[in-house]
Amino acid sequence: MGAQAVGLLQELGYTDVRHYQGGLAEWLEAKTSTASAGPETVPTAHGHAGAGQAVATRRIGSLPRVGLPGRVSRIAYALADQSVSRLFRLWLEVVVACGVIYWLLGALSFGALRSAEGPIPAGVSSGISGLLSAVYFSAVTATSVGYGDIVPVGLARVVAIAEGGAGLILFGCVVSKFVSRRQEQLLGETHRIAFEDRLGRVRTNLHLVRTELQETARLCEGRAEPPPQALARVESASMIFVGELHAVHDLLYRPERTPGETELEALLAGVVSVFREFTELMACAQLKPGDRTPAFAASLRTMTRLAREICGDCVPREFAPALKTWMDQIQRLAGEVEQI
Amino acid sequence: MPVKIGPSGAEARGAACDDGDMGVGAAAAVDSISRSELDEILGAVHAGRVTLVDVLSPESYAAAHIDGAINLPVADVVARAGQLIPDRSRPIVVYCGGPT
Repeated sequence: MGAQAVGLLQELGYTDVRHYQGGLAEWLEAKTSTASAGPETVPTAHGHAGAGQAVATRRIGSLPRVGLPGRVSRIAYALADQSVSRLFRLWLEVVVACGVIYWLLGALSFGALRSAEGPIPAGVSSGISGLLSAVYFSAVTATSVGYGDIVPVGLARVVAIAEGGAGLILFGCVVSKFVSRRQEQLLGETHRIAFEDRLGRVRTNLHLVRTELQETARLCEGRAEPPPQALARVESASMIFVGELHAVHDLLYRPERTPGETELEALLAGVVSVFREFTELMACAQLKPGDRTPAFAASLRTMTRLAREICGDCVPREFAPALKTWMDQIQRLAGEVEQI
Repeated sequence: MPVKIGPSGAEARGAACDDGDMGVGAAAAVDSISRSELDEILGAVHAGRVTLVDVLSPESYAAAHIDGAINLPVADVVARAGQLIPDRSRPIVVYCGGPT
């Protein structure tokens, strides 16, 4: 289809036409894999030209690009995407690393920690127990408890402020993760139920539309002119059908959620049988293009347009051969409906 | 019940993503680009120097499309291309649902 469009455009006189062969399928696949790599990849994905616009369309409330506050919030967003265990490990690493820094600063006699009443006795500030009290001070600082029994001096003050900030952010992330995890579970559950409800609705409506069309076909059997109520019934049935066709189309084109193969097959088969009923009924009722109400004509148009995109080769994902056959059948029948 | 299957049925199929029976113009060699080439071109697309065309239906376009692409369904190419892309020398990249 892409190749066909290229041909058409060339015929129209466009000189520089190329074809992106992978198409939407490949693009969506690559996009979801980069999206999971974290928000840091977002601003660079499009290079420099028009990057502002690209970022704005990708993510609302997108990450600021420059300055210290911008960088901090970027890091915070990146952290928010990590798992709880990873965040906690990172927090522990910060505590230990800063403890070692205090200890080293003390050992290199830059002046690092002293007890609130006076310097930490010599022999304690270096050696194993010195390291332990340095890590202790580090933990007290990172949790922002700040007992004040040991206080930093000199360079260690700078490190302590930085550690305090980092510890606060990391701890906040861990806590918020814990809180939101349950919510995410509930949300996922809600989505799943809504999705299954919708599938059930599609199945039921397809069945109803089919029986309705069969019923109407019986009404106009043996008559030259279809009775007026038959036309009204076909019209409303076709409207319902368009809605359900939209839903099926969505299932094929949106990668987030897919029903099981048998479920999908049943739905596609339902669509096929409705289209069959339509072709039979249209031939019987002789609904000429001129006699159609605007609403009916519109739903017929939408119907065929949607169905034309349901075919084994044009949906942006690979499906089992059996499903592809059903899809191709839908497409063929849609072409037939269009001609009547 | 009699059902007509005419040449326009084949046309309707071709108008979707089927590459089984392509239109007349497709006989010409098609210049294809890969995903990495598309990545390079995207900057120019956002800067407005290249037109990226989504030839799927408005429904599919609304559900998902590549950033910066305009929507021009295959069936409408002949009717609306001139209006949407007035400059015939402008570089155009076309894409469809999958590798067809």
